[in-house]
Amino acid sequence: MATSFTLNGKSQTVDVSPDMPLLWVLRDTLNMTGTKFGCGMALCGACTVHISGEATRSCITAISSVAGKKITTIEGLSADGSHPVQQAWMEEDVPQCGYCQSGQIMSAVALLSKKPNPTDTDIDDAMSGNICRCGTYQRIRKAIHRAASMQAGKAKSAA
Amino acid sequence: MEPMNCTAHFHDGECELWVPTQVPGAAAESVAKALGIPREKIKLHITFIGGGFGRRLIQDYAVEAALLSRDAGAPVQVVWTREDDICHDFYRPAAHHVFRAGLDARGNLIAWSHRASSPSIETFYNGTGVSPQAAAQVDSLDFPAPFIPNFRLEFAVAESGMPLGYWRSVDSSGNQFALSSFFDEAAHAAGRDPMEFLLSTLGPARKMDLGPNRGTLDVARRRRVIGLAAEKSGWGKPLPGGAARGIGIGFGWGSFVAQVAEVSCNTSKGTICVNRVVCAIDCGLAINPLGVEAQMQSAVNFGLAQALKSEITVSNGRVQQSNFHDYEVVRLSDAPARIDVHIVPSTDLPGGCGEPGVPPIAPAVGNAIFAATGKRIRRLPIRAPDLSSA
Repeated sequence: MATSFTLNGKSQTVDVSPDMPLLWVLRDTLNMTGTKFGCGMALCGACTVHISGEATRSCITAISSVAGKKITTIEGLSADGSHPVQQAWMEEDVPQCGYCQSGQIMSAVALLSKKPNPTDTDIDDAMSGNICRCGTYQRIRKAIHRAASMQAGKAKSAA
Repeated sequence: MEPMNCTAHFHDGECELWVPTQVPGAAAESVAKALGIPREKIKLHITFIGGGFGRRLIQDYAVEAALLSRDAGAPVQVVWTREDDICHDFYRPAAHHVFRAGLDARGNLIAWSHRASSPSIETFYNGTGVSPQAAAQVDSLDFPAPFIPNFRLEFAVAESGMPLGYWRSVDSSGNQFALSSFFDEAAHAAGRDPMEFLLSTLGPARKMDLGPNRGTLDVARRRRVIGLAAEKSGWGKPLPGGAARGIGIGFGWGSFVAQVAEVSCNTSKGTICVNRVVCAIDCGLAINPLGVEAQMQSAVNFGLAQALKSEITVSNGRVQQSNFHDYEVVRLSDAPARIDVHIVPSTDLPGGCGEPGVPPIAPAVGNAIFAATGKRIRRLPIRAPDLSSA
């Protein structure tokens, strides 16, 4: 069954079973392997993408439910790693093994789009769905605050 | 977070593997043996590992993919579900420890008896014919053995039927919780400050000859790292709001670690908040200090899972947990707001940093809980009833 949606700004159509999770459409049908499988039950956040700008767990999102919607994956944040959150992640040396970090970054970008200057409690609430077994949490927190400053600085200089 | 997986292609008497493994040589040998082909016929692509922590030392998942590829006559990628992983793991052995200690009239530690029992990883892999020393999940040089006149250590292998594996820091993870917690009990029984009691038990800076083939023990390195943790944590200065500090130590892999945890407890709700951890490490020459800091933060967050969150239970031969809703790990909201890492400047030979940061955190938290509430934690993970006023 054909399902069409926008993926990272481009139109896509896939012909798969309507209940196929978006995660596996991205990885297996479209070869976009930046989004990861961690648990299959929306408990770990490794599969986080944006649907209409909202952080969403793609492992439990049926492809039929995203028909006509705008999806952004980790690959779509920038062509060259220049998104402020990606920059902050590099400057703070956040990733260790890296496996959870796509999901972490997508959740952080969504948080900052709603709360450009988040408190630590805001960060707890938005980010606790993303598990990191390597334990990069302290640097994640620092990087989010750093990205917030970077984005605020850009906003100031643009104003 | 990467699930267990391997991609294998067996063809023409050869096998090509794409495998996240901590031990490529063992992966190649295990697969060669399982397929009955020479080691030279294995071609291995070592992919980045999405976390190993000891699980990817065991090559069952590589052998499985290779055998499936042989039987299917095609390349095969095998990806385990999280349920496969949690229900069919190689688990850290459970352990039980019993201690007795003796203090002299001045409150100095002069006698220590430690009896431990757990299933043995060594016998699980190498059979019951291994030596008792090899089978034992303790080390006769374990603290405080070299520092006191009367020391007894006994170990008995327990049968459990569980498949066993090497959880990051292996037997030190549970052993150090037991040791450092009981040592803290001894300090309090003597009416002494735990930090002062620890440094007093170690005695003055000196090199101790441990005997043939046992090397030399450098007390100064232990004193220095403990002193650094004390200094940077402000040990002895009051903390606001009823929070308290506890100390844990861990020596191994050529490195020395001391951690002080600052903990707040709500005994009526049975909740704990680890506010801050100060981690001091002497790892010899720190070639990449930012990497050392990352590993210490990693180890503390990882070790807090065994202290606060993670438990495997078995009923009728079946593991009862299956995914992250019932096998809980540390999330960002559980993690300390700060983990401050201080590296002792050193030109000694580089020691390990991946594992030594794990053992101290559980006892540091347990000891802080005692200092805050008078409740002694004697099992992990810590549960609300362990804290509640009763």
